[in-house]
Amino acid sequence: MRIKVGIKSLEEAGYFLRNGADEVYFGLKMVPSHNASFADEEQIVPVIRLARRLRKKSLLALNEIYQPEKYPFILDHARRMTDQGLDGIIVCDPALLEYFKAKRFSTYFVSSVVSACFNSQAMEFYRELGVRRVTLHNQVMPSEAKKMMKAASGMETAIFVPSVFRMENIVPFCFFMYPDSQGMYGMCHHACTLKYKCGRRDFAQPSANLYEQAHFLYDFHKLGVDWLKVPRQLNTPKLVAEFTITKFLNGLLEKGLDRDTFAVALAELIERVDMNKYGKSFDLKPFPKG
Amino acid sequence: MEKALILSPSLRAKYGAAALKKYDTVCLGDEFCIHKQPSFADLAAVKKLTGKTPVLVSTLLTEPALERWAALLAECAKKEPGAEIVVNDLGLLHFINKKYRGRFRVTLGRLMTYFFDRKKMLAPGSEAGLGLEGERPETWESGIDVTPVDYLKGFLKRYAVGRVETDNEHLLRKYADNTDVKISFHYPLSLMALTRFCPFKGGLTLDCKAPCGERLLKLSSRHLDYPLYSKGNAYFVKNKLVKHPRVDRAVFTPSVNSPGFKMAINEGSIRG
Repeated sequence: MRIKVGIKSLEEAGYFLRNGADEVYFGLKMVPSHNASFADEEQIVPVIRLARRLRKKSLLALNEIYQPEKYPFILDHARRMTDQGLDGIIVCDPALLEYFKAKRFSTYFVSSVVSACFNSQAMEFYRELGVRRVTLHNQVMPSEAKKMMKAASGMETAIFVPSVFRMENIVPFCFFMYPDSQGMYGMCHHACTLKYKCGRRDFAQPSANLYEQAHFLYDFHKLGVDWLKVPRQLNTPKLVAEFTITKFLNGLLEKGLDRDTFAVALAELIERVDMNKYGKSFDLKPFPKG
Repeated sequence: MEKALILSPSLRAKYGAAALKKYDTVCLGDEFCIHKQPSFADLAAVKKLTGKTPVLVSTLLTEPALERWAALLAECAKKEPGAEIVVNDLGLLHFINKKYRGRFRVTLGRLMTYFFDRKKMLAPGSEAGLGLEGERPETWESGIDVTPVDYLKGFLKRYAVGRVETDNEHLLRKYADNTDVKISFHYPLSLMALTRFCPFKGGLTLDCKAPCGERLLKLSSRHLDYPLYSKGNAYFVKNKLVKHPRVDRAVFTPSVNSPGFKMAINEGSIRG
């Protein structure tokens, strides 16, 4: 599988593209998609050029539902970046895709995980709007993805690294948000990770089973999923750690490690690394020195 | 106003004819769980009890669940043409439009209306003056009007949608003020989150006999100054039925308080 990483600086782009990433994606703060974004277009252009120089790819994230008055600005932004050599755009909003079509703007469109594509007919819905790669939700299981990919053949697919980045709730149907963040819908409040009481008993939302997720990752690789996605975050040391783990796990899969050994290796690695020591993904932390 | 009841297929035996006939409409299925989707046998059984064809309710569908819906629609097209389908999945909507356009009455469910306009919930500790349960839940919600009205009107026409559903007053007003579709309002639970990591199964599962039933778990956390409710594999806050001249169907979700819930253990979870 090829690896794509969400970035927010030229430094990150350089690091990941030179260390095994095949694609980077990013957004602009003025066009809400994620807080880990670039401040202006001038900072993005060198990233696009760097990716081209290294014969790798760059994608622009426009994966929110935007207010209609923002459409002309978004279209101009997308056109300017594409003119600079951008390879594609990540989207989720059917209305925006139709607007692009009406304005005769076309590029390589990738549907975001926020598109909630859980079946082949949803993939076909987006294909008819010009989408050529679908990001599978991490709550789609491999046996289901196999049928989806067969029924909607010809589309590229991407998955998140399940054991590293777990979404307990299904976006876009999770409404626990901060009201004051820059995204249109705010930043996730992570209510899925809170400790609750149900009567006198403790309650927590069930989360991913590491061994199960390891088997899923193994199966997705066998299925021929094209891309492994490491999502954007403000916490750069944690992003680097997630990328390093992803690259290592992908290497094991590419070498043909058997299923059970891979599952044990993944579970032991994740437990040993203890991602919690890096802090929250939405804590802004700079690029690690050295 | 028409009174409707959401009935999970796994619980149809629990409700007799008298209980179901208290409602004008039975909505058979589940908006949030693939394991509680209706079959034609469920439809026939409910129709036998009530004398009316139930509204069929779908959720976000995996590929195998979509295949089961395709089989159900094929049978309904022959035996129950014109049945009302509550669609909560873009793929199912696309499929019905391609294969059965005009042969069913299409309703956009609340997952679909939230897909276009996602509510933004104000967080605890914000300046919004959050209310406790039953006081001012509307103050939690803001900034929902996003997808262009012109696009939505075109979308409703393109997919021959005759009715929309919501549990949110802002969305209700958006559709009431700008479209002529019929509107259903869901109560007493307003969606907060959907997951396949089901607390009753301890995680993801391909097979389930719906042990959740109608159980409603009241959850509290020191991080939230309002109670959260878990039902099946979705999370909710309480809401109240909004009376509006354009709302012609009130959809009630039944539940049974369940204080003694013991969580299923997920042995391999990182968090434990």
